[in-house]
Amino acid sequence: MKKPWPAASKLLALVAIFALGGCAVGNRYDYTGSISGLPISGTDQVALEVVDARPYVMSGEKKPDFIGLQRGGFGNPFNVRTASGRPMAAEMHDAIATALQKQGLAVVGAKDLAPRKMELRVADWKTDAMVYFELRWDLTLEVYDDHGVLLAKSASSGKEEQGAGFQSQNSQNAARYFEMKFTELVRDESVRKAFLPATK
Amino acid sequence: MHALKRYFATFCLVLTALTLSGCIATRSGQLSISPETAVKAVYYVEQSPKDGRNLSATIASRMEARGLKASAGPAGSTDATYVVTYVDHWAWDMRMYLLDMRIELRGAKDRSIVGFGDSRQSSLAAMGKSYADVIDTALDELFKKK
Repeated sequence: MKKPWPAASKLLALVAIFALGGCAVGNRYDYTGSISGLPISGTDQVALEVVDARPYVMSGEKKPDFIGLQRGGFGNPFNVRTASGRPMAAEMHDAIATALQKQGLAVVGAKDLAPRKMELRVADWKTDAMVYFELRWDLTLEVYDDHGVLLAKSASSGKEEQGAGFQSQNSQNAARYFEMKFTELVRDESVRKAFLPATK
Repeated sequence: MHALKRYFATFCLVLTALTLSGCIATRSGQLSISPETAVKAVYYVEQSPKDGRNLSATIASRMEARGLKASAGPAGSTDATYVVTYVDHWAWDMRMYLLDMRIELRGAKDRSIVGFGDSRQSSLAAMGKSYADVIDTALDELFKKK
């Protein structure tokens, strides 16, 4: 009859698992305040909306505060959520609104009438961290005038991989990636032109 | 005897896990401007108010070593194309070592981000490395070819 594995060996194995797993549980990333500057400016009002169109959120499989995954030592996934507990779209909205206000624009609600409306549609935004930090994204930015006419559209999607770290580093990287991806959308020629005074 | 071999094997596994988990170095970075634009640009490294080691001068000199036009000084208005900012985290383990160096590149006029480079290393991984080496690693990530 095979002898059961001694308790001491099981305990040592558990220690190894936790040493390899690190701090995978309960990670939170913060997107509010993640954007320091944008390549547009103005003095008018902008109606801002961020739409969470991630299929796994819309289906209810994941909650709106879901950001991505942090994996343990054996690749077992744990959900990463927003630091505030609010929906990811809300944190992204706050980051964009703060940045627009820094550039002189006054941000109003999505349904309010304004010379410009800016809508960011998030069809995908998912981080996956273990040994590598992977980001999958699919973002579309549209700018409308006060009659609902589409003035500009820019889109970006893809998948990237970088080295992963612990929660604080991954959180900072996630915020920087969002700042970079959103800034690239705004840097689009048609988007910048939509905010120039001459186009009004 | 068989049990002893099993204990020894488990002990080796745990020891390996503990030592390997202490030897971590990670790096990441992105740049949204072309290499041609990066080479032609002028950079100004803003000294962080909490920096007591004059890292801004080291960053500027390491950028110049790569053929880039860079200078360093206090935060303020500049004629440079891009502003370079950095956040350094230090830790103590028998000596102070540079745990994490994050360098960010932003438009000088609007502060919009154009790139970042990050180098993080545990105490073991940082052994033998000067903070200029860590800065070089972060700059490698920032200006790496796609």
